[in-house]
Order: sequence, then C-alpha cells, then structure tokens
Amino acid sequence: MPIDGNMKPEEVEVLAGEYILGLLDASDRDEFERLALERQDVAEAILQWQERLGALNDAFPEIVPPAQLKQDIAARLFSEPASAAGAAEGSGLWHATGFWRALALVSSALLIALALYTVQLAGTGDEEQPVLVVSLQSGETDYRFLAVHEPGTEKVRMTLVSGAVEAEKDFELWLVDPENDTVSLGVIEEGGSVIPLADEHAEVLRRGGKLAVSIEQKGGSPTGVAEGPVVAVGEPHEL
Amino acid sequence: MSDSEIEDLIAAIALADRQAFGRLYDVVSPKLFGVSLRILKNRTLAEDALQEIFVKIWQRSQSYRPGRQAPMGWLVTIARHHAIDVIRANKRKHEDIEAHYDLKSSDPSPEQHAMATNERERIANCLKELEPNKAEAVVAAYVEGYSYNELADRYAIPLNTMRTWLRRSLIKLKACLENAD
Repeated sequence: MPIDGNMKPEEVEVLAGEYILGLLDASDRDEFERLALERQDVAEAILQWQERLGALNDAFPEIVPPAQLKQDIAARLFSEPASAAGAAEGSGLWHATGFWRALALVSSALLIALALYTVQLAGTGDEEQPVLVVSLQSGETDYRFLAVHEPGTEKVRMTLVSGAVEAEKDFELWLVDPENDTVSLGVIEEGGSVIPLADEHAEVLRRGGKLAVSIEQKGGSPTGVAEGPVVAVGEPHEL
Repeated sequence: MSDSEIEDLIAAIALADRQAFGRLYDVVSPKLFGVSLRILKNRTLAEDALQEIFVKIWQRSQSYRPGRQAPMGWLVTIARHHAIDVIRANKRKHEDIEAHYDLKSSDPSPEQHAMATNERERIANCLKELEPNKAEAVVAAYVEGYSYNELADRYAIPLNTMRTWLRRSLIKLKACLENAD
C-alpha cells in the first residue's frame, strides 16, 4: 500500500491503524507523519486510532525510573546540570533564545501564532486594540526577526530568530513610513531586545508602515539613515 | 493529575518552559518507563530510550493538539514508537521482565478508573468479535511492539497473509468501536 497523495480513504484508515500499532517501518512512518501535516484526513485518522486503542495503554505498568535519568535529560536538553535548572528566568520564553532559534525554519504564520500565544500568556495585552506582529526576513539572507508590539506599551519586543550579529556590528531597527522619511527605532541586541516605540510610530505601523533591519556599525548608524545593508523587512499583522 | 493538567504542561513546554517539563517528567515518566521496559525488556536499553523519549517530547510539544487528543495517548505513542525503533535496531531479547521488576500499576483515581473501565470494556468487547489469534496479534503489536515479521513467525504464516489478517482486523475493529459509540 503506497503512502502517497493517491491514498483512498480506506487505505488511510488502515495505514493510520498500522501507524498507531507501530507496524510501519521507520521510513513509511516518517512519510505518513509528513502527510499528516498536509492532509487533514490523515491527521484525523491517526488521532482516531490513537483514541480507539488508548485503552490498551492500561497494559503498560508504571515503574519509577532511576533518579539520575531526569538530570541526564535536563543536561542533554539544556546543557546544564539539572540541579541548576528550575530557577526562575525572567519571562522565560522571550529570553529563551535557543527556543526561537529552533524555530528558524518554521513558517512565519506559526511564528506569529506562537508570538500571539506568548502575549496571551503574559496577559499584558490591551483588549481594545490588536497586537501587532511582524515577521522580518528577506529572500537573500538567513536573518529572521520577530517583532511584537502590544497596544499601550510604547515598546516593541524584538527577537533574532535566525542569523548572528557580526563582530563589531549591530542590528538597527527602522520604521519605514510610506508617507514620510524612514526613522531609526534603535539598536537590537542579539537574542532579544525591547525597543521603545512611540504611539505615533505604532500608528504608522497600523497605517501600512513596515519594519526593516539593517547591519550597522557598533551602536547604530551615526547619520540617522541606514548606512549598511538592509537584511530583513516585514509588514505588520494585526492579531 | 488530570488530562487537562497534563495538557497545560505540554502547552507550557511548547513555549520552552523548563519547569513544566520537569513537572511533566515527574508525572508521566513512570508510565513511559513502563512502556519502554515492556517493549524493550532490558533495563539499560529502556533507560536510554526514556531519555530519547523525553527529548522528543520536548522537541515535538508544538505538534500536540490540545483538546483534540488525549495527552497520555500522545505521550504513549511517542514512547512506543521510539521503543519500537530501538527494538528493531537491536536484536530482541527475551528476558523475563517480571522476574526483575515489580510491574504493579499505581492505582488510578476513581474517575480515571471508571473511564478506563468503560473504554477497556468497549475495546475488549470488540476484540472478542475477532478470531482469538487475530485479536491477540493486534494487542501484541500494540503492547509488545511486534513487527509484521515477528507476528508472521509467531503465528507461522506467510508475511503477506499476516498483513492481510491484521489489516482486516483493523477494519473490523474500527467498525465495531464506531457502532459502540
């Protein structure tokens, strides 16, 4: 039974059953998982079989693993001894550069959805006006940034999602106003940074302005206009 | 811990919350270690597998669909699939696991117990409608992680016959479980 776009509904059903039972070989399983991302019927069939056979999970006993394992896993994932883990780290996600870096390859739409989720979790958003989210990138470079502006905060939170700042250089954020001159909003630190955003500048974004990032000398362009190459551009989405 | 609490932990892990990851580990690692041991029947392999399983949980937490699937079902599927990969990469060892470990399950809460009983009865009834060895093959694939090759050996039938058997059993099982809804 080939796993491809031509699968009939009954083939999808049987393959999903075999997938959940663990009877597909590794390459077929990967292919089926990939299809599940594209095809709702495949994803749904998998969920249904998982549900149908879930009662068989009672057959698995509960056995406490050795204590050391938890620390080993934390060390592998977070490159630090588990004894140091668990300490509060600011508002976790925005400072978790590694997390955002890991997302470098995912779609802008997913990035935006995740950004929205973090904003909701933070619970600081103003209900009246939409949150503005900008995914900045260009077809020519690997640099990707995510910018989030929550109404009423007069700031924009920037995260470098992929690409690294060059030595002796800084990223500078620009507001591209369709009706006026481009203005500098400030320098972005690597990993994440909060940059002030005046209400009038937020208004420009709502009216169709864009954000852009250029690579400038340390401390930003001395002239007030971008001197270095513009490496990422994006327009806002309202959430 | 309830399903919705486990869901909340997975949602927090999708946002790189390490504390939530630690809590999820505390809550579900005994079950997932049980899965790993049951399939691998070797303590060293099962411990290594459990590490990989939790790395995958961390990495795949964004693919979990809250409200659409039982969180334990999602977690057990990750664990089973990984353990099955390991067993297929290693020669299956037939140790008598019960000689080494206490396999008693922890007691479920009364609600969990009632729900599990209901679901268990449904699947048990539908498995009974299959011929006994066919029902057994489905359960062996799920619980022991047997491959088509191993099942064919076990029932001493050709591989393709085994596939046909099992696929037909799946179709019957689905029809029966849907009628029970």
